[in-house]
Amino acid sequence: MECREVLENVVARLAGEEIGDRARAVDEHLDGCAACRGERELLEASWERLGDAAGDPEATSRYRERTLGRMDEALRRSTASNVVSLRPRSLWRPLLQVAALLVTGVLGWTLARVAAVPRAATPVLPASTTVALLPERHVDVSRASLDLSGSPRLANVAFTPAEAGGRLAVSFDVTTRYTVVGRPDDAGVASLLAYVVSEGSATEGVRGKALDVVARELKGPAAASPEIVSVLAETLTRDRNPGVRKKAAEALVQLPPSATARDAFARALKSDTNPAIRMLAVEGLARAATELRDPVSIETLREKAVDTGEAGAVRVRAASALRGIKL
Amino acid sequence: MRAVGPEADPERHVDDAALLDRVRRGDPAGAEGLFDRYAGPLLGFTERMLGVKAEAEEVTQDVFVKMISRADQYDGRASVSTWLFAIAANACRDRLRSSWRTTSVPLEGVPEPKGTDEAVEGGLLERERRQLVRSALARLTPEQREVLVLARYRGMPYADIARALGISEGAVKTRVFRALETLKKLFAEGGSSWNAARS
Repeated sequence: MECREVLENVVARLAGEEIGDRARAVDEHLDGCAACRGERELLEASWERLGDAAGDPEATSRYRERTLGRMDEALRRSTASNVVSLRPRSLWRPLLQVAALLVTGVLGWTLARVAAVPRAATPVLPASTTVALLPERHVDVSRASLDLSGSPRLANVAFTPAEAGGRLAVSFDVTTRYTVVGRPDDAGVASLLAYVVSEGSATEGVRGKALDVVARELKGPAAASPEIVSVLAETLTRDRNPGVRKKAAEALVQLPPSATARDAFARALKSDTNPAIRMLAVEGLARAATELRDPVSIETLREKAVDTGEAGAVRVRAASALRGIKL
Repeated sequence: MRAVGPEADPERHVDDAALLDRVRRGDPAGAEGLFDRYAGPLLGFTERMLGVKAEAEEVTQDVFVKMISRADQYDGRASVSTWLFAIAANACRDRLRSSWRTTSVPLEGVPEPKGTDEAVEGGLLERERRQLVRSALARLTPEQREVLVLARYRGMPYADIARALGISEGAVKTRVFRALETLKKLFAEGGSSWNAARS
């Protein structure tokens, strides 16, 4: 595979595209080509620098009012154009209509025959779901569950914050648009958020937004499902995008400490190249040390506080975390 | 048409196709629901495409009006959101063609940050970062910019972008790559100011 083709696939991956059979060839090329590895880093950094949709402007109330006014006019015009004119009909029109019906009938019969040839079904989501996702576009997780085991790629994902009743909504496109509603601590919502956060489900921008929702909406023991904790830990320690890893750390640090979270923070503190993430790891470990009385966390912080190879700010944070630990 | 805020929208969990169906039947609530859902994302797209807030607002308004006049043409092959972004992409292309735009992008309309010194400083850095990104986006060709904005900020799969813009998936892939290549060089050229803005 040529360098150019490899890099096109690197960018496609950044955009969340599945590159299928080419993945192995791309990775092998990258392993053996230092120039492409360097180029990949620069492309990833540029992608990251673009930021995400969080910078989208909001429509001001004045703009909203003005636009809705224009839309109202357009609606009135379009409704008016549906009024049927009561002109006398010419003699030719019924004859032409009969001819058109005949042509349509012949075409329809031909198409029906073509369509009758059996084809392999290609469901986007597996058929073993509790909810048939295709016909039911509006899914209430208190009444139905989702099966995401087919790993569908979600696009145009939008999160509607929790309403007064505490239910939030996640909308996305698969082949059609779905809106899934439920309370943040409903298992179905937690699973869907965990799925959106996981690598390969959507673009990094969307995954970042999902992490923001997790950090904002999922707090407290009830919300910290093992699935969420595990996906956050996985993202923190494995994701190649530092922005996504940082958001995962921010979300994880707000959840009650657990062994899984502690291990992820310890690993991030030891090996993450981004100091902001290591700072968050220190916070997570300090919580685990205090609330779980966890000797591993204390030892990891102690090592870091005296690690001369570590950035000064991280060492200071580790030392002050150790001082603040109440046992 | 009622002028209520999105928070009061009882239709928030109705799917897009159902809202568009209401538009077809002349129901203002359908149009309003789609506006509340897509005004922000469409403004984000048009602003990144055109670089001028006032023009973006005008074009976005046109998109919503076209949505109403073309509601009968929506055939359900793509999602409503893909269809709306297709209309927006066409509208931006028309606007760029008609105005002979250059690569310089006025960046008015970014609100001044308020609050503590730290928040002000953070706000200014964020503002500068966005300005740099928009200036860099403005240096791309419109064809590269539209695919990149849809892929990066909307998370649209290449197949949907291809459908929305009437080009092949291969062309999308090449354009996104070229766009990012160009940005990589631009970010490298403006290295010091960029780093100052993001540190």
